[in-house]
Amino acid sequence: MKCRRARMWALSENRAERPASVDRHFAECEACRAWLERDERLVRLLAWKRHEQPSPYLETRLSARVREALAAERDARGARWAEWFPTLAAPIARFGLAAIFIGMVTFQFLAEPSSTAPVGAPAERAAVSFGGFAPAPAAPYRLHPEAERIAIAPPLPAWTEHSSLSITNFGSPEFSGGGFYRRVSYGEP
Amino acid sequence: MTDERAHAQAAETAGEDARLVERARQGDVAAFDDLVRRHHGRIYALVYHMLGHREDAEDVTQAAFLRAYRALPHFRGAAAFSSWMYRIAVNTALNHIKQRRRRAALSLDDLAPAAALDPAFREMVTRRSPDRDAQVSELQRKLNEALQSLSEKHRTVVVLHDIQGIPHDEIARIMGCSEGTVRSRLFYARQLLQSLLSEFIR
Ligand SMILES: [Zn+2]
Repeated sequence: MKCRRARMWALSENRAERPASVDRHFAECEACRAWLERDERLVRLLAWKRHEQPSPYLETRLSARVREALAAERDARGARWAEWFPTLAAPIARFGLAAIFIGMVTFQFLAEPSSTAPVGAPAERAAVSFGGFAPAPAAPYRLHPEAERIAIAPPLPAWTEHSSLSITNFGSPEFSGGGFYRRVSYGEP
Repeated sequence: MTDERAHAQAAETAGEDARLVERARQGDVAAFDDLVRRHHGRIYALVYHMLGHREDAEDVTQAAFLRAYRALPHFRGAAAFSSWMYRIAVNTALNHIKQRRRRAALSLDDLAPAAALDPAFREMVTRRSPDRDAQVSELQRKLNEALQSLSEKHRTVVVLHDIQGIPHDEIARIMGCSEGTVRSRLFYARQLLQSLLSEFIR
């Protein structure tokens, strides 16, 4: 077995899945044993990072920020309507009145056709009455790309939680013929 | 702590989480507040170690909790809010890294007094120099630099496993890859870290 493969297997947490040749390799290979010792020291060094605690005010700050953001989101949803309604209401009302007026005039005009007026299909007449432009065919409705991505994204899968969090510490000084796999449980980080 | 006690405690935690999730789903903001309170420490630590920057870590932690809140209707696991939250936090942090594409400036004032008071830690740094504070800062800086020099995927595995203490199979679920991939990433990361931090692990 090559050193690289043996070292990778040494990181396995499931002892049962490790081939016996891994243990044989470590028993015979001094370089790999030295690597494991350095690895154990590295793991201990990295574990110092657990001492870095967030500031005691983080909880208050974070929970206030999350609450504010949620409230702002809810407000924004309500506010969008409140904000847009007055802006849109006036033009809609004006457009509505104009449409009613044009409709009445057109109806009057069509109800008493002059002898010179061309007699077309109703659609043609309607087109003429709206300034010569036929209404554009409705464009297929599309979500904003981001909204579409969210809408089609599959739900996040459910998880099963590990009851205890532990890491494997290797290359312990107690190494003696395969006894170098040691599970070390840590408490709450 | 014995295994049975740890199991019982984890089950209780998961049960309480599930109750809070249910209430939060029905629009109870206070219940979600409780979930934030219960999980913010670990989530923040994960994000902080991934980003190496305190302020960014706070922003990303907040964003992750907001994402979780919006995604609550899709959350189905009764006993697994913490793992689900981890996954959201990892993804949010990776997105942040991708978007910013900058090496985060490192905060150097991060070592809590607890670490400096730890006898083993003091021994480790004082045997090199009488100037303990300088040594603590130096070790801290080197450790952060080494971590930040890893690729995001390798750093994520190191942070989840070596700092947060999460087992491989759960990391595989959080990252959406196989356990073999987790092991291989951990191997390459440790290999690189060994060479970057050689002066501290000789
Ligand atoms: Zn070897």
